[in-house]
Amino acid sequence: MAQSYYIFRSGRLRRKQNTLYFEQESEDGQLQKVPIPIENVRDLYLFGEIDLNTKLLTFLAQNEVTLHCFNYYGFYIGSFYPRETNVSGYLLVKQVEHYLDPQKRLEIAKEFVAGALFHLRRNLNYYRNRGREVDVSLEVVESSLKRLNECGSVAELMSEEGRARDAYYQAFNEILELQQPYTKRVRRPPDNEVNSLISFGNSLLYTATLSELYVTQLNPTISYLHEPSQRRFSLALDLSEIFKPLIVDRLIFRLLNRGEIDENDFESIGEAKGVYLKEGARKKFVRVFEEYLQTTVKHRRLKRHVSYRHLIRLEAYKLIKHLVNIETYKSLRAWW
Amino acid sequence: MLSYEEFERLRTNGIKVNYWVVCHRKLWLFAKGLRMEPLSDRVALGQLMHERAYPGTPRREILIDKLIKIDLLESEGKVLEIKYSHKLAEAARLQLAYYLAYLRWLGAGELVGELRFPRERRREEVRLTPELEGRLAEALRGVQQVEQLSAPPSAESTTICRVCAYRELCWG
Repeated sequence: MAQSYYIFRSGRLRRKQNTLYFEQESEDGQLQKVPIPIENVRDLYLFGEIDLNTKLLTFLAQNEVTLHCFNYYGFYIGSFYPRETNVSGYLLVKQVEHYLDPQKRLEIAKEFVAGALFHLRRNLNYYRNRGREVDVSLEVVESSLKRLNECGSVAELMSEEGRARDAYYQAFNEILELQQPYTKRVRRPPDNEVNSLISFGNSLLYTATLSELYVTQLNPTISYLHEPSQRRFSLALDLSEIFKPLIVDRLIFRLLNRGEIDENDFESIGEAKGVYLKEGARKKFVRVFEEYLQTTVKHRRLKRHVSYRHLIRLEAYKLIKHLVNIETYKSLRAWW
Repeated sequence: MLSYEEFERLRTNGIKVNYWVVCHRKLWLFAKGLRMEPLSDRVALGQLMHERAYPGTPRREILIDKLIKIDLLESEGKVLEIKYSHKLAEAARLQLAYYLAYLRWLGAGELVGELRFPRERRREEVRLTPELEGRLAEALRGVQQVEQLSAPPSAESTTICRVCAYRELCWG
């Protein structure tokens, strides 16, 4: 089975004959070579400073491996998304058609938000059942969920989602035992530990979604909730909305509440207030994230166990089915 | 038997003829470029078997008109079609019949085909009888009909769905 490889060290990635090698100079000046069997690689995550050349990129493209790069601070920089081999002009036309028609676009965007809010509510309910005071937030999310059908435009949908999310983030103060109250979501750079974890987790989820989209015929630049932009593969943003609360947020709650990551795991960037994860914590996060993606649930229609990662792929298939008029899209609502 | 004009009009991939027998929905999806085969382990297994089967026999793969890919048994002048299992033999038979007819339209004359199921050590000779040609004509017309549908034919759950590469698209 293909898997993700995460490289934290610095060194060189090279193609040698038909295998991938990670080379690193050890302290005594010896060159260490670690072979990575290319057939096993679905995607590569580079966190260290890595040298590579176009010969390597060619090799990755031939094997349809996506490459995700992160900078020194662990912030996502970008992906090498090889030329698609498995394309469908027909589906592309359908994707565009559903974007151009405001009604069709709204219908899909609404499902993304509905799935996202459903999972926000699910998280809040989980903690309410454990005696946390999250009723106020829960009410806001509930009422947003009810109003979704009245939204007449994607902009309205976005603001409804924003409202629910703000309330949801307020509940973090109840869910997490924080020394300083969590006020609001701040990105680029994140301004405190929680935001930093959210940013890091979301970027991992985004890249995982992108890798799953790569194997389908969907074009990742055409999206429905987010505006298709030139810079980002915005369909991956759309789809990951559904999974953020289900995967990233729950991981953060777990890591912080169990003390597996604490304030000592963060550092400021120079003078800036930005807070970023130290390497050790980053590794820990990546490890549990990867484990989380591999945990399985019994799929009711397929009648077998599928991993969280695979649920992302199935979500893409459901979208395809909607676009080609097989079955109306209904976003994932965790049933377990 | 199809006229040459009709053949010109219906010319298509061999695999589509095969899929028309197996599942119309799969054919439709395939025709729209919604291919699932590249992700299927079972398909990869079939490909591997195709490459490795009969290592001692001189064979040659030829792609014609970028449409059909035939496997030729050089010493005997037979057109081979190698399949993983005989479960879908009728689909394989029509696919092979299509290759034979195609080659005849190109002027190769009457060729003999052979289905091979190396895992089962089984083989079956295929010749273009009027009856088989009739079924082929029906299949070719059917392929075109399915391709022209604006929405895919509905899915019917059968035992072959379980191993189909399109399973998760249809049933997930």
